[in-house]
Amino acid sequence: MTHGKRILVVEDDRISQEIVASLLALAPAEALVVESAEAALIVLASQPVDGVILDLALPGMDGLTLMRALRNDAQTAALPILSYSAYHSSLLRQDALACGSSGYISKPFNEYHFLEQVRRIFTIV
Amino acid sequence: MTAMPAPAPRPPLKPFSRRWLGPALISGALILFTSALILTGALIADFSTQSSNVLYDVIDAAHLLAQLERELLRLTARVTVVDEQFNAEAIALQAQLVQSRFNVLFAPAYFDAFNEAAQGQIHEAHDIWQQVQPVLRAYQQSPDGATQERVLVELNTIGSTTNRLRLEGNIIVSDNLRAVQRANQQMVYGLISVIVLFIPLALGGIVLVVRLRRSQRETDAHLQRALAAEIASREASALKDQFLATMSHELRTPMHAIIGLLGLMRLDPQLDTRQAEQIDKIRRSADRLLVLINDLLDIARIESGGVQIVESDIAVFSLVERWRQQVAVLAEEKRLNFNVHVSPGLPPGIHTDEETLTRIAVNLLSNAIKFTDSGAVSLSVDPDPDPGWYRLIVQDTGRGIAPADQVRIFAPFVQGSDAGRWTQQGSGLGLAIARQLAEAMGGTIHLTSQVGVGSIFTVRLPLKRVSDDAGKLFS
Repeated sequence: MTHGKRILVVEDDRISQEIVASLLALAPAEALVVESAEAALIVLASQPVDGVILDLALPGMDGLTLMRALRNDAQTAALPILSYSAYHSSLLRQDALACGSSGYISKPFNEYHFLEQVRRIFTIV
Repeated sequence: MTAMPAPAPRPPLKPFSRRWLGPALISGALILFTSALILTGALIADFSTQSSNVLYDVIDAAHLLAQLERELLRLTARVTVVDEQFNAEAIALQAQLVQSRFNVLFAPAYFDAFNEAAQGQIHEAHDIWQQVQPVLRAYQQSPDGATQERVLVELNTIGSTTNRLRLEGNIIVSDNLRAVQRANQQMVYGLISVIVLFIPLALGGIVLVVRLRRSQRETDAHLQRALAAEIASREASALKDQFLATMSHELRTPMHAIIGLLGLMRLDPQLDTRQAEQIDKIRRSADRLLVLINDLLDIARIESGGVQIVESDIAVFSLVERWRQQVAVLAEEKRLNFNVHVSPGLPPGIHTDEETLTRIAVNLLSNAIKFTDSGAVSLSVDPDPDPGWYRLIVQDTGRGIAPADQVRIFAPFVQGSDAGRWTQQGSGLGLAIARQLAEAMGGTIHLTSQVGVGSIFTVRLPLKRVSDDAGKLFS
């Protein structure tokens, strides 16, 4: 999918990686998958991406911290970010939006709802 | 893993100290009591010394008068004796004794003890004595009857004067004695009253102090216990919140794998019809299991007081559409008509807690579908006649709820009693969650139902409309 948008997927769970990447292919968009926030920062420093899909529960640096780092960096401050989490918590949604997330969904999600959010946030038509 | 923020422990309360109050009160009471005793004792001692001094003077004076009288009587006896026993020397000696008694009586130490009238009488008696002495001396030289007669009369006059004075002195003494006794008695009574008055005061003080100290100890112990309980409960609550958060993540992650992969499989165009149906069945089971997990997590969080209302700007129409999508599948399965009506009077954007509102609506709709075997389930969203309030109305043509059950079905784990225990589906948590969440949002749930006809659940909520500018984003 060379014509599509490149989305960096930051997700440590293998099955979630597969689900998100497959759904992104349907969006359509290209998925670039990394397993940690630290890896995401390295990729972002070298490769341009059109958006980030971010699991908030990560080993090492957590998703909220990564999001704050991205928002504080001029290069990534405007990058659209869709975050999600398997935590059943309204508070986490609020924290995510407060940290600069463009959208938040909770996991497990309905694939149609997920695609709708992806297309809206990353402006895929 | 993100850690859920634990509430910061409140700094422990400083227990207030009244340690010195008790000893201070006891010391104060003791000092007061001792001073009162000393003061009373000093007053009594002073008074009784004064009265005793007066009394002793009077007694001394009376005693001197008695001695003078005795000498006068002896002199009288000497003068009365005649003939062979006449003794001029003895008479002269006796006269000297009488004179010396007078001299002692006139000594200022004793004489001042008499009042003015008594002193006058003593002087009078002494004058007579002065007059009688030459006569007495003449009688010693030549004892004749006429002179004897005259001496005896004069001596008798002096004797009666001293006798009267002595009697008066006795009366004074006895009066004084009585006065002193009375005073002493009064002082003893005073002392007793002081003691009697102070004993209950002192006892009361001691009891007060003891009770104060005990209540202080109890208060301190109570504070300590309350503090420990508070800390324990905060720790337990934080642990529970942490546990619930972890459990929600650990339960929902595999559910995400199941639901997500089923979703991907279902999108495969090469599936045959039978495979697609089977995947749909698994998916519905997984969805139901997810609802149950969420219900359990919700009720656990509600029970632990952890409902958080997080508001954001929401597009009303797409939100209701998502509810419809989520629930329509369940209605289709039971071949029920499912109608959604959103009033055109609603603002396009509202400021509310999307997840909580969704939980309320979906719980009520799932419940309605679950207990309706034929007919229709409908959802309508309207502005309430009260400005700022909105209504979600979920109506079904189900079996209805008996009046006796209309209150208790909102309690956790309770389902209507008319249906068989083992024929029910679900956890019995849906309505309890819907009610608690509606109340957490400041709203209410109202139920009207008729057995065999159906039920209407009406949720009234205060919702903030998004300002017109922001609202345009949603229209």
